[in-house]
Amino acid sequence: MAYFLSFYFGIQLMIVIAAVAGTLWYRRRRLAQRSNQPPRGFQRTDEIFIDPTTGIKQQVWFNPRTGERFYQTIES
Amino acid sequence: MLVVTTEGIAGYRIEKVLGHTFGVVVRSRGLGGNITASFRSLFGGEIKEYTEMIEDARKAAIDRMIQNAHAMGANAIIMMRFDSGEIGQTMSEIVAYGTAVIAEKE
Repeated sequence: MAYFLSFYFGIQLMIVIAAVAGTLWYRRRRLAQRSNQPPRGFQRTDEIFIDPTTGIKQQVWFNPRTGERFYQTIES
Repeated sequence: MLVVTTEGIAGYRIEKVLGHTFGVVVRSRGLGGNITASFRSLFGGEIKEYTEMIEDARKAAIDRMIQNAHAMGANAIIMMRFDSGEIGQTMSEIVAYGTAVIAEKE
């Protein structure tokens, strides 16, 4: 019985650890993916906002040809 | 692309109203985010995992709304608003909508 319980709770703990580790990995990857150079053809707009989760100030760029937007980190 | 929440744009004349434009996105947190958030809710305060989810959804909704307005040939959006809702218990929907217009400088 003790073996079964330790196995059961061990598996549960491993699932929680894997889920939290996956979240941390995702957040780190999300931060790393922030490229700071707007691609060619983008124009700077007056729109600036502070990302509420990271506190990083971001400048918005706009591509008038495609309608795409790009978020550039301007201050950490 | 000028996006404003007012009926008109100061210094601009609305040449043509093209119609409504919108951007919609539905997002949910993964298992890890939900577990971390539920631990955080035990102690109170801001649930950063959900703030991040809503912030990403807001950005995606605005991006899609602007792309739709651009596809309509607009150069500005007036009367922009946000709306939000829930689908199930874990999914959040954000809609950004407004009126796509062609605005000329006065």
